[in-house]
Amino acid sequence: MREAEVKKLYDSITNIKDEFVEEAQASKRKGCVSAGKPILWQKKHPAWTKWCALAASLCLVIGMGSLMLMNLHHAGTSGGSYNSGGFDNGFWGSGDLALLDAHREDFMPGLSAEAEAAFEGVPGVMEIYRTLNNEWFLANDLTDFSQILTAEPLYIVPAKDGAYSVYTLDENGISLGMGSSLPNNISVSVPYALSGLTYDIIEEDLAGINYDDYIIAQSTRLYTVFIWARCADGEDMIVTYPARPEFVGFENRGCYTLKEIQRILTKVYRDSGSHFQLTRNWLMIPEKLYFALLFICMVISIASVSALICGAAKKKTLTYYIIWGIILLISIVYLILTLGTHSIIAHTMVGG
Amino acid sequence: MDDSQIIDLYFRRDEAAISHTAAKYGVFCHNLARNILSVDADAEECVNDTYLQAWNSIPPTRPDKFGAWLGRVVRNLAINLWNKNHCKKRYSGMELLLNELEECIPSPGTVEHAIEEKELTGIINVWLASLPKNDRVLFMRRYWNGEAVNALAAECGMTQGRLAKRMYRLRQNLKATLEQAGYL
Repeated sequence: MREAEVKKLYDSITNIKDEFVEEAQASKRKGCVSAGKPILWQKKHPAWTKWCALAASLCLVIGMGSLMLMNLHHAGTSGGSYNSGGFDNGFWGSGDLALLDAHREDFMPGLSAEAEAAFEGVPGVMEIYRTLNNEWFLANDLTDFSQILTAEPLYIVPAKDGAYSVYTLDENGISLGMGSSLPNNISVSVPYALSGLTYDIIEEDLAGINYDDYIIAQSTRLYTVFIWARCADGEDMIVTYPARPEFVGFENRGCYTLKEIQRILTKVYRDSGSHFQLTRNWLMIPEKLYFALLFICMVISIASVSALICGAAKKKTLTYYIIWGIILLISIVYLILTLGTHSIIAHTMVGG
Repeated sequence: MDDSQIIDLYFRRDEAAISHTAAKYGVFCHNLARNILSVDADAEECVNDTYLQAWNSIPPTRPDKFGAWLGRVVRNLAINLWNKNHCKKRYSGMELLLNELEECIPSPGTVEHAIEEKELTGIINVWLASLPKNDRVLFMRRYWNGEAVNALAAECGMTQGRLAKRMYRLRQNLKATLEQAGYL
């Protein structure tokens, strides 16, 4: 019985509409291999997909090229290249610390009596003052650093391999303030910011300056330590220890007058479009790996763009576009992280 | 020569009609018969019988679509030959097609009444019209032309297994349609 039903079904198929038969024969004629490839069931991509893919690829190439050119341009200026953050609090300090009205004599070098007592027996403790959040260097009537620094000092206790700890001191005694830095692989003879900075290095760098005393100031936003050497006869001199010299335009262990500091920072500030933020949230990788990945990603991104353009011309499958699109995206993300946001840097890019 | 000109030759009882038919549709008819019968000699016999039937039928018949009409004639002759020789020989092509189509037959007990073959053809026509073009062509070439799965797979650039899966889904779809229509 079942066999009869199957035969009935088969016979019914025999008598279906002629147009379906013709359609199948027509597809069979068209579906013969052409240039060695079957074409029967290949989906025809609308023409606009090819042009859209081409336009998107060109936009990516142009965008990446512009980004790289911008970075090269900024690297060539004294301000260096930097992240733009749109940070509303300004870039000096936290912004909510009081400005002292008193003059420079209120910023004394060395440790206060209370600090000496609190840190008795601890070698190399440095008292530092952090900077304010105003764009102090833009002021025309700048006379002393009471217009720049905050009132509350911090205490830096150096440790091994460039590490250090930050403390505060109040009526309750010493408190671990801002935490500690981790030891790093950079030689301590080349300090950057507070890492590896000692009194010996400071006094070595001040050796050629006829100064009365000096105070240590730090800008957290710029990751730069300033040794402000106060000179009774002549201009005050400032020795700089930037963590990212290419960003702020100072040399590591460079020596500048106050006017020179103002000029350099003003230019950097203007070039950044008044939004200037350094972030310490970078990933440091070995230099060779950094440049190798950079080169590889550049090659891969160019190859991906070419593959996508060729795919659009040859009407490849969706899987082909997805795979090459993902490869292009990954390589572009790496290029942006290195050249754009500088979130990935080589370890030699930090310090002097 | 287009189909209308060939049919005119039949109407004029010009024997050139046969040669022109063979030239244009000979390969098509032979492949169709071969797919069902799997034996060249029997397929050749079917094709020759097709030309004879065309000569005898035209006129008065004037097929709208000559290629499809010829294909239907070949197919019917091939099926008849298969039926005749089914007990004596096994034609692998037709056997395989019938085995696959058996999956489309709804289970007994789920139907309400018997459907005539003509009505069944109508159901299949509607079902085919509802399919995307690619699936419809695939179904036709497999179960009307009787083309082998591996040949179809090679032509459309997919693996045999993948095509078999696609055919299976089509058959299940047809089965669901027939069940809905109450086919027995």
